[in-house]
Amino acid sequence: MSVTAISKVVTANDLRSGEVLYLRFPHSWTPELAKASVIKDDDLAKASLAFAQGQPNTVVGAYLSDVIDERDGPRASHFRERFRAAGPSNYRHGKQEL
Amino acid sequence: MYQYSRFDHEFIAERVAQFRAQVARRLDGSLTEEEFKPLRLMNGLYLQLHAYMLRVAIPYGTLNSRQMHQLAMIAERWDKGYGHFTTRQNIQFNWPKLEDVPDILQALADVEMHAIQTSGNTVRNVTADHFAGAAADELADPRPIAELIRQWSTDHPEFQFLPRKFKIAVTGSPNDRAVTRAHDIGLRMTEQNGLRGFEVIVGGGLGRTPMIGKTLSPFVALDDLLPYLEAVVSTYNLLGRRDNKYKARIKITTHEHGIEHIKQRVEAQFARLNLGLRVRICSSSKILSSISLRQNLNPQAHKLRQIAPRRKALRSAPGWTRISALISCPDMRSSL
Repeated sequence: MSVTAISKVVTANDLRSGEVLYLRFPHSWTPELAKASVIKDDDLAKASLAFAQGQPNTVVGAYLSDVIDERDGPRASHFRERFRAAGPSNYRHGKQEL
Repeated sequence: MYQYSRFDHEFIAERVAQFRAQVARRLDGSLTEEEFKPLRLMNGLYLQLHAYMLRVAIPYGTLNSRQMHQLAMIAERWDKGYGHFTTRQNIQFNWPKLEDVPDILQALADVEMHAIQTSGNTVRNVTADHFAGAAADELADPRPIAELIRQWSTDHPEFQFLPRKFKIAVTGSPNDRAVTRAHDIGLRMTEQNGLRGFEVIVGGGLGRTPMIGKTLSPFVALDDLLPYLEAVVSTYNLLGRRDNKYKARIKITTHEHGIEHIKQRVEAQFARLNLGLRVRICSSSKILSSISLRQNLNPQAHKLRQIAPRRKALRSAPGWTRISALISCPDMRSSL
């Protein structure tokens, strides 16, 4: 087992709605980054990404995204991923209307 | 306003049916995302950061009340109750579901609208002065010209895979409310010796590399406009860079090669196009009169309806000849 330098999550867009999703072990997707499974192992990261890419009828464009693993869940480390996780912020729609 | 011919209705209906089948095949897994992406982009459907986005063209910014009501219906039924009108006279719906998009396209087709060529490396929606037809300073209403260009460029077989997207704006006024100098091609109506024509500007643009367009020709007569545009776009199609999308717009091509070099190539291509035409179908001004008639007369009485079947047959003809024929003047039909 090799430990990754940075914690990661698997993210993609929902095929039907386009919504941002995160992989949650073992085999489900969540729209909330806080509920995503955090990956700290290279082999597990590769396997998780391969699993996500093997679901083309559910999600689109899966990739690994860097996160900071905090007590109340993962937090995106890149600003683009923070936008994806939070949804549009001009007023409450998308994830912020929930 | 321009009213769709039977050909237009059939063409749009066919595209909606095609896309409906493509979406179904994507959802059942027959098509991969890689295969589906170019198909959805051909119909104006993007997958953006938070959701899908459907961009709908509003040609030269003209909407009637029925169309406006339909856009509102689409927003309420399939989106979140709003749409975003863009600076280039489109409307974008930001939250459509993939499986609803074929129904949205059908609802658009019902009011003579579509999302074709609102994305991809094609000639995009042709825009015009938003005061067109009502501006005190205009030489003439530019919208029939914009409609002419729309028909020429829509589904143009040579221009579906340009190096990059291509935007055209038209104005009939000396005051440039259509922002023609920030377009790939800007057309400014002018007159020379009593003849109506256009100053043709190329290589303008905004984005990451803003540039003011340069005058390619101070005057192109109306009758030469379509072949001249064909010459400009086909020159760009060959000369434009395809190795780097940030260097692929015609503003970069013009900047790198110089306006004089572009001009020489366009003039040469223009001469070739005119020589190469098997049949000079009819002049732009005659086409325009057809479009203008079409806008004002009862469509039942208009002869253009009679040529719809011929338009289908002509789709395989080369270059602008084909498009001119699609909207050709009745007196030239016998020569085809």
